[in-house]
Amino acid sequence: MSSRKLLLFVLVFTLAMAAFGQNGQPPLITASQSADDTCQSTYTSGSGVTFFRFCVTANGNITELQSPVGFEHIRVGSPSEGYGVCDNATKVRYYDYVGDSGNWNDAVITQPGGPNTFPLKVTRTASDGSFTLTQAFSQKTNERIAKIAMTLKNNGSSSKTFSLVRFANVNANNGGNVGILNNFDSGADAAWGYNSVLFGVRLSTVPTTLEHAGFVDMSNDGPDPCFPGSSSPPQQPFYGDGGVIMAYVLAVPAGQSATVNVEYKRF
Amino acid sequence: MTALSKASNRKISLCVVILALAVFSFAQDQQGQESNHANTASTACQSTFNFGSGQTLFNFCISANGNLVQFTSPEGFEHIREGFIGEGYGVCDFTQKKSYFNYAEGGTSGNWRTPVITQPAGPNTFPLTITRTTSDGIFTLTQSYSRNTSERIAKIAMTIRNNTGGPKTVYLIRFADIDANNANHGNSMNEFDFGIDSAWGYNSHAYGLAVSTVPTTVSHAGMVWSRNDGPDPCNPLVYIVPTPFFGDGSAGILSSFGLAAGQSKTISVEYQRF
Repeated sequence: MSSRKLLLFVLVFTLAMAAFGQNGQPPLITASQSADDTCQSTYTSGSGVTFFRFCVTANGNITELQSPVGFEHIRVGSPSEGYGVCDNATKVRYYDYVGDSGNWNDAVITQPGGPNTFPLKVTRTASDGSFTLTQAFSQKTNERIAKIAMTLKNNGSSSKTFSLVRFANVNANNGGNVGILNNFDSGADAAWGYNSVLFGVRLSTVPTTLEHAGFVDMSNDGPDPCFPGSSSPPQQPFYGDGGVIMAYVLAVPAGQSATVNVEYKRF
Repeated sequence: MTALSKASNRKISLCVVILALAVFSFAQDQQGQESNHANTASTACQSTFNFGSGQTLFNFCISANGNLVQFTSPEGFEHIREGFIGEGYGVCDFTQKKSYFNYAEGGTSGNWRTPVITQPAGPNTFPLTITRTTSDGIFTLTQSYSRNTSERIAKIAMTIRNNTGGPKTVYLIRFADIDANNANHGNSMNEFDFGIDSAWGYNSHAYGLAVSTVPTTVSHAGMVWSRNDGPDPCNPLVYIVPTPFFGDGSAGILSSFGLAAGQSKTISVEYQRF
C-alpha cells in the first residue's frame, strides 16, 4: 500500500466512522454496570530497569502496566483499559473499559494453571447473543510486551460487519510530571503516549490485512466503538490527558470468527 | 505517585541530567575542534535480510562496515535508505578526547581499520558479526546482528573492548538519519522525540522507526538531533533540539561507561518499525 493510499484509507476510515456515528443511535457510554479494576492475574518479570509487570481483570481489562520499576503507565487514579465492539448492522455498542455498557454476559475465564499463569483466556458473549469475544493473553518479557489476541465470533445467521477497538487511558510515568499529562500520537499500526526524556506505552497491531488504524483519544473515558475517531485531537502530536486506540473493521460471515492481535509495549 | 516511584523518577532524572551535564561539559572543551569526517562511506548492502510481504514485509540490510543502511516495513515504506543515507556507530575516548565514528554518508572519521566479517554461512545469513579496530589499536568494536521478525526488530549487540593497558571512559553512540515513510513522500520531514530508552522518527497516521536500548544499568539516554549527519561522539549535544521536533532530523542512543584495561562492555540496541 503506498503512502497516499494509506493516508486515504485512514481518512476514509475516519470519515466512515464519523458518518456512522452521526447516523447511529447515541452512544451508550453513560451507564457502567461493572467497574472492577481488580487484578485477576498479575504477571511480573525482571527487576529494576528490566522490571515488567501487568495485570488482567476478570473481565479482560489490563489495569496495570509498570515498567521499569516505579513507573506505572495505566493504574494511575481510576484505570481505564479495554475493548469495544460496534455491530454495524444493529448500531448497538458493546464495550468494557473498566466500566461496561451493560450488555455483556458474565466473563468466562479459562486458565488451566490457575490465577497468574498462562495460558489465560477471557471469553464474553454479548447479552443479546449476537457475538462472542475471546481474549487470549500472553507476554514477551524481553520486549516488555503484553499481547492480546482478540477473536470475535459472529453468532448470528447472517454475515455482519463489526468495528472492534482496543483502548487504554495511558497515564505514562505515573501520570507524567505535571498533572496527568502525556504526549500522544498515532500511526497506521499504533498509538502511543509518553513523556519526553522518560518512558511511554505503545498500543500496536500485529501486522494484518484487516482494515485498521491507530487513534489518539483526547478523552480518557473510552471511545464510542462505532466512532473511534470521534475524540481525536484536531492536531497531533497531542499533549494532554489522553488515551490510545487501535480500531478495526471486521466483516465476519455467519458462524465464523476473525482475530486481531494487539500489543502494549513499554518504550 | 508512590514514594518508590518518586524516588525512581528522581534517580532516572538525575542519571539523565548527570549524563547530559558530563557530555555538555566535555563538549565545551571541544568547541572549535575541526570535524574529522573522511570520505570513506559505503552504503552498499553486504547482507540483506528479507521477511514477509505486504503488511508483514520487513527487510533490512547491513553494509560491510556494519551500517544498517536499509530498513523497509511494511512493503513500500522505506525509513533509512532515502537520499542521504546515514546510520552507524560512534565512539568517544573521553580519556584522550578522541572520536571514532562511521555513520555511512552521515560521516566517517577515517580512523578505523578494515572491518572483519564473520558470517559462516555467507552473505545474507545469520549469524553475522562485524569487527573493527580503531587505527590506533585502542578499541575494538564487535557488532553482532540478529532480528525478531514478528516484532519487526533489527538488533545489534555492540561490544567494545579497551585494548590498552589503562582505564578508559567511553561514550558509545548508535545513530540513524531516520527518513520515515519514504522521507515523508520525499520532503524528509518527520516527527521526532525521545525517551530514556529510545528515540524515534515517524509521521502521524503513517509509520515510524524507533532505536532503543535493551534495558541496561549502563548510563544512557535517547537523543534527537536537528541534522541528518551524525554527531561527533565526543560532542554529541551540539545539535540536539527541543522535542517534539518536526524536521529532517536524526535519532540515536548515547551510552556512557568506564572500561578497565582489557575490559569489554556490550550495549544492545534495536531498530523497530512501529
